Amino acid sequence: MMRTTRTGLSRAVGLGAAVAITAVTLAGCGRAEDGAGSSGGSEGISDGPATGAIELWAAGAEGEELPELFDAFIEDNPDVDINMTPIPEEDFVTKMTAAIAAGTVPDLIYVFAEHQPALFATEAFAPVPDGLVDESAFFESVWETGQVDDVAYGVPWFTYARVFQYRADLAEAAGVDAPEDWDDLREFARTLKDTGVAYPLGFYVVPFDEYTAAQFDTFAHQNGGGIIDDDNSAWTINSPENVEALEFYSSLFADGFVSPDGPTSVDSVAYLTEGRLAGVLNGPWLRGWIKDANGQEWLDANMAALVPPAGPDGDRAASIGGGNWAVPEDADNADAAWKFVQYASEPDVQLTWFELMGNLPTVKSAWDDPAIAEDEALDEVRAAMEFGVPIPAVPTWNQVGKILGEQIERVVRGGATPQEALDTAQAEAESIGVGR
Amino acid sequence: MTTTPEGRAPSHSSGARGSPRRPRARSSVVRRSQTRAAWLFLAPFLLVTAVFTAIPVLAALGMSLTDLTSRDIRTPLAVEFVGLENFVDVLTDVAFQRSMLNTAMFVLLCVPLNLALGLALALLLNRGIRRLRTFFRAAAYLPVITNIVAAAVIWQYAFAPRGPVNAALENLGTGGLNWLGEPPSAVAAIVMLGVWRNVGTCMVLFLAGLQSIPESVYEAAAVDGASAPRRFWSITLPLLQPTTLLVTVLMTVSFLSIFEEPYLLTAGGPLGSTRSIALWVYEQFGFGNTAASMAGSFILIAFVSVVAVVQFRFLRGKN
Repeated sequence: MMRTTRTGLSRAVGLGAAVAITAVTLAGCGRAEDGAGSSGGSEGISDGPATGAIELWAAGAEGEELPELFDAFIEDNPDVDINMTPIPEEDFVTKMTAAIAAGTVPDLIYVFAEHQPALFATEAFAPVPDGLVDESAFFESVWETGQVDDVAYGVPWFTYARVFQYRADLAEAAGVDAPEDWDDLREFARTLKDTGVAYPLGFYVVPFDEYTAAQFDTFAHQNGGGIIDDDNSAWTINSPENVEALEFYSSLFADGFVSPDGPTSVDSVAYLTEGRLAGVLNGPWLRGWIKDANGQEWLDANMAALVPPAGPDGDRAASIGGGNWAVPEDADNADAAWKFVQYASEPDVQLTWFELMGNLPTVKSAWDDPAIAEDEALDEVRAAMEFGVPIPAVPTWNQVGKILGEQIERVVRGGATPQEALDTAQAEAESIGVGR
Repeated sequence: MTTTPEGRAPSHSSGARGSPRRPRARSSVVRRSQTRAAWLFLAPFLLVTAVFTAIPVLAALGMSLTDLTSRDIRTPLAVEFVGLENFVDVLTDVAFQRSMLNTAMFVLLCVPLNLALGLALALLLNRGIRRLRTFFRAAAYLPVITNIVAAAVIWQYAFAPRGPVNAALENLGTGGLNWLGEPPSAVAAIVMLGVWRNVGTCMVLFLAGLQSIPESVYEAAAVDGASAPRRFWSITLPLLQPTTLLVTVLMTVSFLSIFEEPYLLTAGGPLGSTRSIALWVYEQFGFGNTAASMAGSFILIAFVSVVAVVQFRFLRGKN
């Protein structure tokens, strides 16, 4: 009905009003503490158990499992209450930005690596209090993802590297080895296509957006390229190495080894199970999904994982990501929120999360637990983390990633050459900048 | 003040309406107190309109003239006035231009389809179907009250490459389509969802319009020997004109700001072929381009207002 069709507009307009009204209000208040965040460090948290209500906003499917962790925390902190609001992943930044503008922020958020740069750029988050957690207990590269100008605003909660996961039984039956490099990957795809597998390979494709762009970035790195320079100061989308990488990437579509119409990330469980899909680049959670669908036995008998195939010169790359905790500066109950973060950073809590979601801990010692140490498939994930390519940690990433994703779609659907598409994406990305 | 013409003709209307009205001379005192009462009753509405429409629109306009991004929302004093720069940027942005064309396309495809289908359903329900009329009316109206998110999920499933729509097509001997993956069929899927969702509203309005046409006109035409098609063209359509124009305006305004259908079904893809203006505005806000987003939303408001005013002028002229 028209009333609901109009909500898109009124929502946008409403957000605008919220921004303007808050702008006026905040301007009147004269925020004295604005400069404090950037100087680094901050006051610690109070002693004793957490009290009061914690408003927690969680993005994506992860939100559904989080309440399992609340009980133990509440047991130790009987006077605390946790109200969790799950928010669809794609709306998270919009909702959070609006909340920051309106001054109605939650006490604690759980944010994906992909959304972090845009949110932290609002300068609306509090630095991690001194002594809250032991920084050296975390993987260094993962800890750095929560930092802006050497100040930590996020505490890493889980991490992953996307690895090549494939139907080992089908590969064996077809007599093809696990793909070690690009040539092997093509050979793997061709052989399995010949044995009747409809989609030998599945990449993250539907819809073509920043996730597609991030996945392409790993192909670019395997070819010695990359879509942003090393200090995240300029886009390097149309470098010759990247064009070559996109030529290889799109040739797999052109040869019918990958379909631009899917299967999507979620579909891949059914497609893999039915043998209509043979290999995907995906995170460790995929094994959990397959286990839920087909059981551990099927998983062990049919699936294998390995570090993504290397490029022509032997360069390896895998996309890494994860989720972090962050506390808005205007949170009503920041003290209790940080205490929950502290609790979530304990190795055994991270292990519980691993068991619930299949997401890997960010605290190094948790990896020594047999549940992780003795899982051979996770060895490959751990190995892939060595070659981890994080998403470009710049505030304009989501916008540029979406543009790049759409240009990649043009190529794989046959509407542009890799050079044309990357030139277009580069020009648009340059006009947007890196947001600093 | 003197009495109005309506006030002077009570003897006619009292019988017809069954509520006797006595003629009265309104003094200016009465008039003024009525005006005051009118304002009093209007006040809540005006307040709501001000808070939820007028202030946001003005705020959007104000912000669209600055260089505000989400990175400035906590330091609003730091933003600078940039005049119409954002409007120039937005209007010259290829993606925005594309979204304007897409929106125009949705309006041009959906509005006529909704009008035709809504009228056809209303005619069927008004005369054609006598049995189970309530059931069919409810069935046609059901999409209007269905949650769009739930509906979109079902449509997404239905239009999946191996979904039921393609299965049905293959059973009919024609090949399936990659509905949401190719631009033309993705647009078609969104148009179908949009029409499905709005046709109930059109039907209800047309039904009301049809029922306000006096039966005696048809009887007189029948006596004169007018055939059924002739009665439709010469009586029903002309007398439905106010309703038709009202429905046209409502639907045009509604589809100019189309958002949920492309957002939920295709996220603006493939290749940006279904990104509407409202979706572009929403995306830009998410990207942190607050001022650009506001400029875009203001352009959309301007479009909607101009189209609505022009159409209402047309409506008034015809009456």
